[in-house]
Amino acid sequence: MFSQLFINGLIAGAIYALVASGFSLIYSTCKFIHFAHGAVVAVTAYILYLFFSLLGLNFWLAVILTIIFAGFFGWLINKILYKKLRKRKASNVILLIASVGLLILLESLILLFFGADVKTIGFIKIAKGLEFLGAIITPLQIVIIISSFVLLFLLFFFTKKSKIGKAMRAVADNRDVAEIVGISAEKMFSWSFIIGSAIAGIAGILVGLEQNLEPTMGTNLIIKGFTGAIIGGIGSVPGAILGSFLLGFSENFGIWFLPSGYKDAIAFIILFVFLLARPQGILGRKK
Amino acid sequence: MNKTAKTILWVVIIVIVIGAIWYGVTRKPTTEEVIKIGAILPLTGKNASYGERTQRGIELALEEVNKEEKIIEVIYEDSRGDLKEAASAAQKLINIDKVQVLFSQLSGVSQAIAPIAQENKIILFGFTSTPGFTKQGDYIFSNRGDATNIGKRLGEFAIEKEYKKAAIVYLNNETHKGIEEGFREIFENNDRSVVISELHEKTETDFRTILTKIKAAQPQVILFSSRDKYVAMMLVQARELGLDQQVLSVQGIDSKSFLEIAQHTAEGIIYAQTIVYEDITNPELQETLKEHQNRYGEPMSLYAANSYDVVKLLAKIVKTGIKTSPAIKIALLETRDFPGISGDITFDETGNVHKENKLFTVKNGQFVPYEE
Amino acid sequence: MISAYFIHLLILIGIYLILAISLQLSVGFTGLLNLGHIAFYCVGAYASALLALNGFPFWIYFLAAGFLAMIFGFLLSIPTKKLKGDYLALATLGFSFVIYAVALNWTGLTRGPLGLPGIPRPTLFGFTFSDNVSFLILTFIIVLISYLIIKKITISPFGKVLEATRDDELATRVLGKNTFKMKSISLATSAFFAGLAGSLYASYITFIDPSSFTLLQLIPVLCIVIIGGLASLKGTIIATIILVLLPEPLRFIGFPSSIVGPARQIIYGLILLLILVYRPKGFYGKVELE
Repeated sequence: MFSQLFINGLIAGAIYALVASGFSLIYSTCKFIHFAHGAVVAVTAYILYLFFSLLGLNFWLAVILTIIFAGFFGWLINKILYKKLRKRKASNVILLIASVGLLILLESLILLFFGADVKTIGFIKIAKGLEFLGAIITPLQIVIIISSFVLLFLLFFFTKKSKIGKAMRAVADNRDVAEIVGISAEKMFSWSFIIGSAIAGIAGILVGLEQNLEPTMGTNLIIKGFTGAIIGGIGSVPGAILGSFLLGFSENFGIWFLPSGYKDAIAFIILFVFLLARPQGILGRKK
Repeated sequence: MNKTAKTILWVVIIVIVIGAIWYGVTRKPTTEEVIKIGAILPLTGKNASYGERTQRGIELALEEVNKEEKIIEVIYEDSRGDLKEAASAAQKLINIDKVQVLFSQLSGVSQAIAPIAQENKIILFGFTSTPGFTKQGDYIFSNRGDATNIGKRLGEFAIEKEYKKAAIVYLNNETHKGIEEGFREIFENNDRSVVISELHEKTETDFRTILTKIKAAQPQVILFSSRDKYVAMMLVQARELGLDQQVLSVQGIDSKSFLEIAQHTAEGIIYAQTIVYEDITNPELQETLKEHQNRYGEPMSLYAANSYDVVKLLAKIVKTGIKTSPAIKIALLETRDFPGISGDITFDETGNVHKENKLFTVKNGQFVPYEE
Repeated sequence: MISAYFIHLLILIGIYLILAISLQLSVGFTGLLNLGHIAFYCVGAYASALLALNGFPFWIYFLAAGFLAMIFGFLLSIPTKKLKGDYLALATLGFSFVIYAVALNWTGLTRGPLGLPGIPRPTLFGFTFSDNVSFLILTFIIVLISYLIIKKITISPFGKVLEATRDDELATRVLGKNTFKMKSISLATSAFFAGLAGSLYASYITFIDPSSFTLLQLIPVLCIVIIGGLASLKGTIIATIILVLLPEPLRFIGFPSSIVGPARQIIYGLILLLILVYRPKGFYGKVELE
């Protein structure tokens, strides 16, 4: 059974990581908790549903359009709401409250347009999974795990090597110094929203295929993604991904021994232990 | 007070005043004939899809009963599953709209409203299977019945089929806990064993480790006692993990989304509920079932059937000239075998019903009565 | 009987007032980004409900709710004493998730999602506050006492040290003040009043379950503190009245029945965002937080 539990933990961790990585990328640059990231994941899942299931576009075309839409949507949120708040020197708590307000607003809009019923994208046919070292896994779940690993490496190289990535880190480290050397902080905030939300788009597509669509799916996802991100170190994207996997493994191994009702309790106790013992997370730097 | 604060305060006051005037103007002059019902349902939030189904039942019934002249008006309030919100809604409905009857859905919300309804002597129909709910007062009613009976019916079936070991996964709420207890009672009193019983929360979407535990316990039959979407996800994940035992389930899974999520894995699932489908003899109810199927693309669910039946029953009482809550209460308790889609209605002295649970299954993508 | 509806709303305003002015003490006056307030409210509500259901008299379970919440506040302040700004916000938010998970999972004590029904209304000197008018009077007295105590704290020398800690912790320590102790006392006091509010809530609604203590329930209280203006008690009172009453007019707008739920939520969300965007420092905001 160990191998099955390991795979279960890996799948759960990969889903959390997909949500946590975009969230953490935005946090590391903009320094506030963007809870509406969960709603962005939900919105993009519904956009895929719109393109593929309702409008009948080719699946791969719909996927590409959805990811582009997600990036655009993130840019728009930042421009319409957060940029205005920053201009008026709003503190991080206000940005946090605004993000929860946005989460409520987006969920209600989904409900208004698509209704409350669970929706399915219906691209994957259900069948018994593949046997793999005594554990069973479906092809979609393999794709989810691989995607999260690929993202881990891409984001690592992006922040370390690319010009935008370096500029984003500079803003994250010290906004004033970055502006002196000619990096526009607002521009980097925009970029982090575009990239972070495009990742949310990928998460929305994969989660939508694996777990189906509901207007409130974003809230559940962001709470777990947030937990994973803090465990791993909220300002560090690789840390957020690692933390998410740690969370996935602990939950699934945990409820093997405990009643399954304790699943969320396990997650939050790990969160709390980390907050007390290592508040900067696994890979975060101490300030 | 500074300027902006003043402006905002004034805007709020103006909005309230305009809202009140608008409300006063748009409100149709209440004739003596119309009685009002306040429905406090979860219209947003994670339970919204169930609130929506209850609302469909109400709307279908209203179209029928108000066809000739308007006798019932329903005012909806969104509880969002929030107790404070529901309490505010109940106060507003009772004191301002002067409703005679309240509807509520979700066990927590219903528990929070029950004392308010009882104190104001307003009838409350709780669409909930919480054990003992209707015993809180003489104005508190339910037409769902007790959840344990569903579990017992499924337990009897499992015994008939000679299953010796059963596994259960249930949603952590009053209804499904009751079903679990009912099944366990019947099954274990007949020298069989429930080898594993696990609960899940409403936020759950990943059942793999629960199912891995079930696989290790090697049951002969599995009971998934939960709501449609969770049962569908459990079915899919169980089949993906190679669990191929017979699956039993409960009322309320018969929805379009259940079939969409579960696809072919839905075939052969057996579930117990009180809804009368095809053997219904009443042509009027037959029409309603067809109308619901046409309009919403799925068979009438338990949620819709419950609310539909109650509105029809109330309309029948109102037509006899009874219009106030205490008089309606007496008429309700005198009701005998009122034909309903979710089973015939006769209230016991506490205001609850006892309906017969029948078995259903899925065959070729259709929900049909189960036959050996 | 319009008045009965307003009495209910006034009681809600009272409960929110205690929550908001006590949160103002830790967030506004001490500068602690405390997102764990809803957890203290939760602890108070459950402590009060469980004691009341076991037959304890009102003054015992009411004060016990406050003191238990206070102990939790004090315990939370120990490991988080060195955390600042965002990390403190995350730690306290994590704490409220943990308390929620405990309320949900410790079914032996809290009955989990099934909740605790039939909580009795308070009885004092043989008089039961069973109707809402008397409950409103009780709430009003408790609000008044809470307000006076918190007001007294904020204008006392101790309150000035708290504000100094908020504005420049290092300088305050150089002046020989134990700022960790100050912050600890502030958080514990703030938690005490949240516990009292929880007790009032449980006795008023007479039923509680964990769903009343989620992050979404904290947001209105935080909004009140922000919109009223940090460190302004007068602003807090006005903001409480506005935010509790804000959703009510929406009930009277005649939306088509199929969209009534989401339409109200959308308007409510939009109004909140607009207030935040156009008035991010609140009505009486004097101070800013890092």
